[in-house]
Parts: sequence; C-alpha cells; structure tokens
Amino acid sequence: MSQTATPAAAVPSPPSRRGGRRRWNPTVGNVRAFLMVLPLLALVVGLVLYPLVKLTIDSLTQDAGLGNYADVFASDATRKAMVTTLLASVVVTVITVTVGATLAWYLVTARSTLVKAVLWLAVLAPFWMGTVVKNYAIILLIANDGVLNDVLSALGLGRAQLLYTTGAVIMGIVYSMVPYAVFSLYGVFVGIDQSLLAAARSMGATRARALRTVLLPLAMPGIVASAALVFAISIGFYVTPVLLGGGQAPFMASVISSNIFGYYDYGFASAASVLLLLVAVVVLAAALLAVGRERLMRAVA
Amino acid sequence: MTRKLVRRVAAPAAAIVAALALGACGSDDGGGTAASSQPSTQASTAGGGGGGTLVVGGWGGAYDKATENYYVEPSGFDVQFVDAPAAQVAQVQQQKRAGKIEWDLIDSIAGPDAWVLQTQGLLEPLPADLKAELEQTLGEGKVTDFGFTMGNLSYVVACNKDKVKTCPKTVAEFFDVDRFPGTREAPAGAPLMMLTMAEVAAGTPVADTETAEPDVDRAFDVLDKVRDSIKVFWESGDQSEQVMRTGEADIGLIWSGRAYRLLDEGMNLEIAVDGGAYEPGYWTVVKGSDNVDEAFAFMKSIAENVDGQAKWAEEMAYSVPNPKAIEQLPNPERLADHPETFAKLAVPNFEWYAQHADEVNRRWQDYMKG
Repeated sequence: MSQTATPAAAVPSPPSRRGGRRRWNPTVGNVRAFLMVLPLLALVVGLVLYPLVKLTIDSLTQDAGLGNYADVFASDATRKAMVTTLLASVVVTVITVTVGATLAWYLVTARSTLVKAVLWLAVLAPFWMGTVVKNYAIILLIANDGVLNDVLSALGLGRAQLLYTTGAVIMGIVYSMVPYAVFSLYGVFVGIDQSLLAAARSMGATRARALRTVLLPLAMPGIVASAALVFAISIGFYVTPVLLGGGQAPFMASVISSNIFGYYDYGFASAASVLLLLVAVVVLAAALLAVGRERLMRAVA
Repeated sequence: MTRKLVRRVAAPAAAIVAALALGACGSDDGGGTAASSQPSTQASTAGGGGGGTLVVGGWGGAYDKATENYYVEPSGFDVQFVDAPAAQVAQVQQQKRAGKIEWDLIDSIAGPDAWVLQTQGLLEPLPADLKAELEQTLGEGKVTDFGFTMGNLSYVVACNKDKVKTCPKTVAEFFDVDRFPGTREAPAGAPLMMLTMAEVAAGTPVADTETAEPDVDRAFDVLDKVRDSIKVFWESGDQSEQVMRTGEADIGLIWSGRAYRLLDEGMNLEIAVDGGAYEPGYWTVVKGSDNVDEAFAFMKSIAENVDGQAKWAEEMAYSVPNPKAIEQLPNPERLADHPETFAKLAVPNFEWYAQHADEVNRRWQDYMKG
C-alpha cells in the first residue's frame, strides 16, 4: 500500500480564489495529529503495554524468579500445549483464510441478491452468536449420539470419537474465526478492479490462471494481514478448547488459566504467558517480514 | 537504502502490534475465566440481627440464594455476598497483598483451597470453646482448627449399564481397565482427589488416607494404566453429566450429586461409592476480618440450624455436616456425610498436599495433557 499512497502534503495546493479564507485541507499538522491519537495512545499504554511489562516483571520476580522459566520448559504438559497451540493455530489460519477468501470472493462477485443475502447471513450468524452457543451447536453435531455420528453409523461405518479431540477444537475455532477473515478480505477484494480479470480472460487465460496470476498477487498483502489477525486471535482461545477438547486438550490458554485459578502458581503462569507471546510475535514477524521482502522485490522488479 | 529498510521492518511491525492488540481485546472467546473471576458485588440484606454487615466470599447464583434463604434469614445477621466461584484463594491473597481484608467469611471453600489458605496463615483459628461446641453439635470429623464443613461431596463411579457389560463395584475397580473395559471420564481439576483414589486402588485402606503419606510414584502408576481409556477430563459438573448423556464415555468418575441426578433422570446407571474420595467445603473466617466475633457467631448459628441444613442439602444436592439434618432427608445415604456412606470414602491428606501442591499439580498436568 505504501508505494501507491502519495503524501498529500507534497502536492502544492492551488492559491485560493477567495483571498482571505483558507481552503479546507485534509492533512493535519503534527501537533494536532498527536493530540488526536493521544486518547488511543493512553488506552494502549494503560491496557496493553503496562500489563505486558508488569507480566514480564512478575514472571521474573514472583515465586521461583528465573526458575519459573525452567519450570515451564521442564513441564511436558506446557511444552506439548505450546506446540499444539501453535500448530493448531496454523491449521486454523490456513483453513479459515481459504474458506474466508472463497466466501469473500463470492460476496464481491455474485450477481444474485439472494445468493449474497444467504452468504452474508451464513457469515454473520456465527459472529452474532455467543461463544457458548456456538460451541454447543458443534457439540450437538459431533457428539457420540450426534447427527454426524448417526449418519456414519447408518452408513455402516460405526461411531467415531469426534468430540473432545484436537480436531474438534480446530473446527470450533475455525467456525468462530471465519467472519473475521471474510470481513477483512471483503474489503481487499472490493478494492480490486475486476476488469483486470476480464482482460486476462480475454487474452486467453483460463479462469483459474486469471485468479492465480492476477487476483492473488494483488490480494496477497490483504490475505497475509488477514492471516496474521486470525493467527493472533486463535492462539488465545480458551473456552473452545475446554468445551470441545475437554480438560486433556493441550492448549496454552487453559494451561495458563488452570495455573492461575486452579493451582495458584502465578510465577509459572506468567512465565508461560510471556513465552507464548514471544513465540507468537516471532512467528508473526517471520511471516510478515517474508511477505514484506517479497513485496519489496516485486516493487523493484 | 536505510529508508527501504525502515519501511521493510516498520510495516510488518505495525501489523504485528495491531494484530496482537486486536487479539488481546477483540476475542470474545479468549477471556472466559478472566471475566468470570471478576467478583460482581451482589448485595443482599436480611433482617436486623447483629451490628455491622458481614461480607461473605460466595459461589454466586443458586448457591448464594440457598445459603441466604436457609442460613442467613433464620440467623438475623446482615450478610452481603461477593461472588468469587473457585477463585477464593486468589481473592484472599490479593486482599492480603493490598493490605485490606474485605471479606469476613468464606462459604464452602473447597478443601484443598482451604488448606492452602490455612498453610499461608490467612485463616482465623476457631476459639477453643467454640471448637468444642461445634464438635459436640456436628461430630469431630466435621470440624477443623479453622472451621466446619459445608457443601461436601464425594467422587463416585457412575456406570452406564446399557453400554457396559460388567460395571465396577468399587472406585478402585475404575482403575482396572483389563477387568472392566469401557470408555471413561475423570475430573480435570482435582489432582489430590485422583491421587487419593489411586492410593486406595493401590492398597491403602480408606481409613488411612487422611493421615498416611501418599506414595506419589505408586499412585501415578495406577493412573497411567487407565489413562488411555479416559476419553474426557471434565472441567465442570455440567460437562461431566453431558458426557454421560451423549455416551462420550460410559464409566464416569463424577460428583455424587451429579451421578444421582442422572439416575433420577432415568439413566440406567450403576453407582459405586466404595473407595471414592471425600471432598469437604469449609465455612471459615478470614484472618484480619474486622468482625471476627460476629462472624463466628454467624457460623455457630449455621452449625446449629438443623432444618436449614436439611433444606439446603435437599436443594443443592451437596452434603451438610449436621447428622440430624441428614436424617431428615428422603435419601440420606446419598449424602457424603451419612455415616454408612462416609465410612466407604477416602478423606485426602490435605496437610500433606498443602506442602506438596506444586509437585502434585504439575505432575497431574503432565499426566493429563502430556
């Protein structure tokens, strides 16, 4: 985006026709701009930065001090939860962005108002439902006596354990996250000139090729931003792993929660939280830097 | 060159901050516990009685309502509930750190939690004369140095006879997968209770568990054998019932009240009590309360309120300490404190646990999630 934006201040404004009155200027001076974002800045400092700093200090000073980190690394449950949380979040991100992109594309291109209405409803329904309702809906579907198992059993395939598995947790998180992906990607796709695709097709490209070589590169920055959003939210899910995965589900939020509220082990919990945050930042940074470099190289070429 | 570098790093960095901030604030699914642990103040006043208002750390909802109807109202004390379900230890510790104890009493704090607070010196000891009186009224096993039991429950085995050929006859047999095959569920958040029941399965008599030092390695050997058959570790009583109803597991190690409720609903269950774990809750006074004498007087009124305890137990399906109250109930043997039932149950060694909590809890988490 940065290479297309022209700084408005650089454009010399034509002299006003009516001498005395200054023309309205969309750009804001530095001081005024700072004052305008000050409330937001205060909120971020108070509600994001301060707790993070406090958490980090607590993780180094409470209970075993630096030993908190040794305890976290020594814990099979926490190591497994870290790996499972990250892998599951990656899987969730891939599925969610794929499904979200498909839905968003249809929402942008569909001609039929009815199709659009139904699709929007499908996207918005899980967004409007409460967390517990969403998860219980999935329980009803995949429980041992649920609809899905009834079908499997009727087909002579027998009943499978679907509920209280990592797969069930992934399904639950995807269901909650699809609206986020659709909202962010809809905005991206709407901004892409569809006549470019028509042009590609008129030059003999197949539909798939036009999507791959024209749409995808244009949408890539938006897709990556959407994936980063989905990934960052997914690693913090707490209710879904408990309801669909049971107590055995190795997810970081439930490990941290049970160490705070069940076992009063704050040092351990804060060290685990800091590590989760660090790993998440590293994963996100790596993904975004990779894309940033690619974009830069394309701009140069 | 530098500019390019700045741009290359700055845009992704800004995106990360934005994404993480959104993740922290935007996810309704992320903050379940944090929200529920925030105590909401629910004031409720009863008639005249004593001088000041007693503040009780309670469980919220139906629990506070039953306590208010059957214990507070007849007592005439002025009581205000502050809800902190299953977070009483964290709340009291925080009040201690802040230098101001806001609670006078805690209603039915779970046994392991009570002993954590007791070990940290955060509970007011019962005066000797009151302790003697309470032991007279309730019986010795129901009174400790810091309070008396309330909302007591036991862990029992509920076995679905429609699905399982031979159901376990004792809780020890829950751990015997070879003789009693079948899918199982067990509590996620009760390491001490699981350890105690595994001890019994390994050969410790139920009469000795309260004082004997547990052999942790031996207990986890017992637990390891059943691990693959446990399909669900339940996180709440509702979840434990739902698992049995949907058939996700057919042999459940669950709270007695939940097991009998499923039975009354018409499920074809066999319930095994022998060798189950006894988990008391405790009425207790917080150290540093401004109203210690009144708080103890209120506790005494509860201990002596036989009718109130009977009604409370009938409504909540948790057990109460007064033996006369239990006699009044329609199915008294279902309650953990009924003498015949209590004799079959293993009382955990709370004092030992308070010293070894970190070791046991971490090993339990590795066992469950590892």
